[in-house]
Amino acid sequence: MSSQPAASPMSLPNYLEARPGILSWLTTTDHKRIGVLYLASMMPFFLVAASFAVMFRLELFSPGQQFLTNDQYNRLLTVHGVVMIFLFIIPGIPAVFGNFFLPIMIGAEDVSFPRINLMSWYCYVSGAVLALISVAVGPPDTGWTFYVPYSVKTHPNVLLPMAAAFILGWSSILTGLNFVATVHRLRAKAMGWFEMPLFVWSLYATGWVQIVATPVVGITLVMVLLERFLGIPIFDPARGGDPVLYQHMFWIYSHPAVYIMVLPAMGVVSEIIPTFSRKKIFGYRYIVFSSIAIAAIGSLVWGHHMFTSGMADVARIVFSFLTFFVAVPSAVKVFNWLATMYKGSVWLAPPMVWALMFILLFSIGGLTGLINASLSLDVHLHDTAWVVSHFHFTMFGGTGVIFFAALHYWWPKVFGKMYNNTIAYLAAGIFFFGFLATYLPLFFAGARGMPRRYADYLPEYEIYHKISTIGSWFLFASLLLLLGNLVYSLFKGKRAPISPWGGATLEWRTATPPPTLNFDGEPDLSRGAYEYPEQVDHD
Amino acid sequence: MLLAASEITRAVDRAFFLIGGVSLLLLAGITVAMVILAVRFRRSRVRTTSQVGGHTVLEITWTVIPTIIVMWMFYVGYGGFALMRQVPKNHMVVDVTGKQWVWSFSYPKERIDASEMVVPVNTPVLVNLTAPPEDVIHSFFIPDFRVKEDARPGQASYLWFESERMGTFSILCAEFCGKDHSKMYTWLKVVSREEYEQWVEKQQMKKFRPLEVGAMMDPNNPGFGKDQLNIDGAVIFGAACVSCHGSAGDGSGLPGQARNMTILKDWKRSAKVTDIYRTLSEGIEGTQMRPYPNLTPWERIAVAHYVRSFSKEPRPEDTLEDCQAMIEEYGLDKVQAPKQTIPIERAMELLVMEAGGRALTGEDALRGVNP
Repeated sequence: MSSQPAASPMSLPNYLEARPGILSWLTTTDHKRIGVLYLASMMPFFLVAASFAVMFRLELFSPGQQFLTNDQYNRLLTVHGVVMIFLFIIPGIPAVFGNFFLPIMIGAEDVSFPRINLMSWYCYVSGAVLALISVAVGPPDTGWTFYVPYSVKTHPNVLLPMAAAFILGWSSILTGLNFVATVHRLRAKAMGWFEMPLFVWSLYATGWVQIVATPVVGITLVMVLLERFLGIPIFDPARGGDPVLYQHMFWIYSHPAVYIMVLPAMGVVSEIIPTFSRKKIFGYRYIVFSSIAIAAIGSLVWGHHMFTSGMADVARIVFSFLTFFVAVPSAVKVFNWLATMYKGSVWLAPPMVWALMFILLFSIGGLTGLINASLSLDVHLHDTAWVVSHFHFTMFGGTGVIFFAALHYWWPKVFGKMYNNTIAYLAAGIFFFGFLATYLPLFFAGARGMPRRYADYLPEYEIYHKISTIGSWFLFASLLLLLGNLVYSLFKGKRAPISPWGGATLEWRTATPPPTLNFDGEPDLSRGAYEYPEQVDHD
Repeated sequence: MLLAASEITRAVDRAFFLIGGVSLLLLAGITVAMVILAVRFRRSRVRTTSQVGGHTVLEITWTVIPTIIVMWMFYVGYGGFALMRQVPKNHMVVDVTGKQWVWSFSYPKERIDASEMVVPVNTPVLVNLTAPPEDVIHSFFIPDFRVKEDARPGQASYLWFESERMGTFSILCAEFCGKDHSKMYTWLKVVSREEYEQWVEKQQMKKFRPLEVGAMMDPNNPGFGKDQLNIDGAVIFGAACVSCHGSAGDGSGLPGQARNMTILKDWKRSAKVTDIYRTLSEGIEGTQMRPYPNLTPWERIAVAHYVRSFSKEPRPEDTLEDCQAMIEEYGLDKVQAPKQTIPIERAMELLVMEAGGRALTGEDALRGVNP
């Protein structure tokens, strides 16, 4: 199929209109449609989980019980965590934007295994349905970590959400596998490894983490099943098992998982900053190696979640030591992004505003991570609101913000429509204010000893919770505004040009929206992914 | 953070302000650089760019310097941790058990159980942590002293602290443990040495005078520190009473007229603790129920509590006057704690840990760290 006859621009139908009908979408093997399917199935979960957070933040507005019982609070909290982690943040950027843009960026017509790609979406949907069923029959109340022995003793059935995590894990593995294979096998012949866009590099590194780390979820689930149904003692201390073993198993996956969440986001930043600075990315190879270093070192630091859980003291020291090293490649990336702006021509369009917001929020998340990584400090801060805030700064202020950056960056390409810029700026501004108001107070509360996952609290923490709750209203409103603006553009937006931002990567040199096999003829590889003329030729 | 009330607190806070301060400087640097770059090179001002793709010396610099900074941070964080794991030799010991959703405290040397934690000022306190094997993981957290360690079911762990101030500090559970996780807090009272000794004495008296109304047990809902009465009572009942009264207390033992204790009417004396105590002490004339002078006062009270639990009917309750009369009559306020023994609960705990393949107590772990 690669020897398509050359056709004049815009002669091929775009992927949205190529085959009409719901069924054609549900059976599609087009990586772009699968990306859109992911986006459409993901956003409702995101909004529901976000509204749960608004609800339990409302409960925390004052000490004492307002309108949620402890039990309801614990369940909302757990469902918020499980849905956000497994249905939004982990698949988010790779499954939506990776699927859509990875093949285009390397000049391929599709991923290596298009049908497996569709299957991974069905795994995602099945896992999501299973998670919904578990919510319907009795939402779990364990926190998203499902720590034993509580999770095997509590009344709500935690096997369903764990099984959901298992199936979602398959979706993640299949996507990772597909990306790794695609990068190796379908990269345009003229494109060398070090000519690939950095988003592709980050997805490639992420792909390996997904393949290597995710099976541990499955292994852990099988161990829980063996214990529960065959009575083989593994984790249950009442029968001679070791609950700390479960924590190891859980974090061996779930810590690398945070790099699965954040690496692709860093890749998106490495696309957006050069595009809006009209400038070659600074330190290309160092950014590549830092992605690989993050993937590698990130797989060896899971024990830093367990500094107070009874691990040997020597293990605590080693894990703390290793954890600090993860900070270095992240810092290298930040310095290179800033250096890219130097002597560029910076256009603060909405995607760039989101990307710069990411640098600020993610830096706060990363630097507070250094505080958490310190042994003696973590003993105090572990399982407090401090960690909740740190986690939300990295995951929401990091990956979440870049998900919105990517939405604004690629929306015109994906749907062929321009959104309203003024509203996009407004939403970003409210978001930034709401974000800081929601999460900064939690640092103070946590440093003063406010434990996390508390349905109620001592009065001395009230002021922090009040500010945080008010912040959450702004945050949620900004999300509605942001998504509303994008959805509205689908109906009333102006037609998007081929390259609204003047980007240099291949997706900006094919039709908007792209045709089914991505390119009208052979992709044009004469220009590098970060090659810009010295004189700005774009508004 | 909070008041600096101990050496550990100061070490942790110093590390916090050092590492946090450097982090804040870095954050300020990144933010200022970003704002300057975005303003200085804005498109309305700059139309001619310079396409520099990298700079090796710069890259090496901003890799090496952060590496040095984080190694220093590791070292600073490690310092306080080393302090946390080295328990001073002159420590006292409190065994703490976390159970959904309450902390209980037992002082093995002083032989007391308590639902609050009281320690003397300026004394290192070793806290041995565990949870019952059938319970879940909790985490013992005293924010003011910056110490926290999980209390795991059937396993042992430890932490220590020393307070330089008297006062009341919160003890919280930091590991999610179910419905009332957020209610699992209690208070640590740091008092003067004299006050502490008075408190210990009072607790010891209480233990050997459980006839005080405050120490009465609801058999259907035994509270903390009172489980021991039930356990001891059951053991003694099994040894001394079961042959006549039957294991269910229904009088189904050897043929005779042993009291069916599942029904409360027609008792010769009432089913109050004080009356059962009298029966155990004096027997009931004209029946086969003989006195049991070999039982200690504690054991008699334990049996009394235990046999009350056989009946599900409402039991007559002892009044304050009943208790005081009994204490005076039998001289219970003069009873001394037996010497040279360890509390039964401590022995049971050790057995449980051995049976679980982990005979490790906090002190053992300590010896491993500090040979």
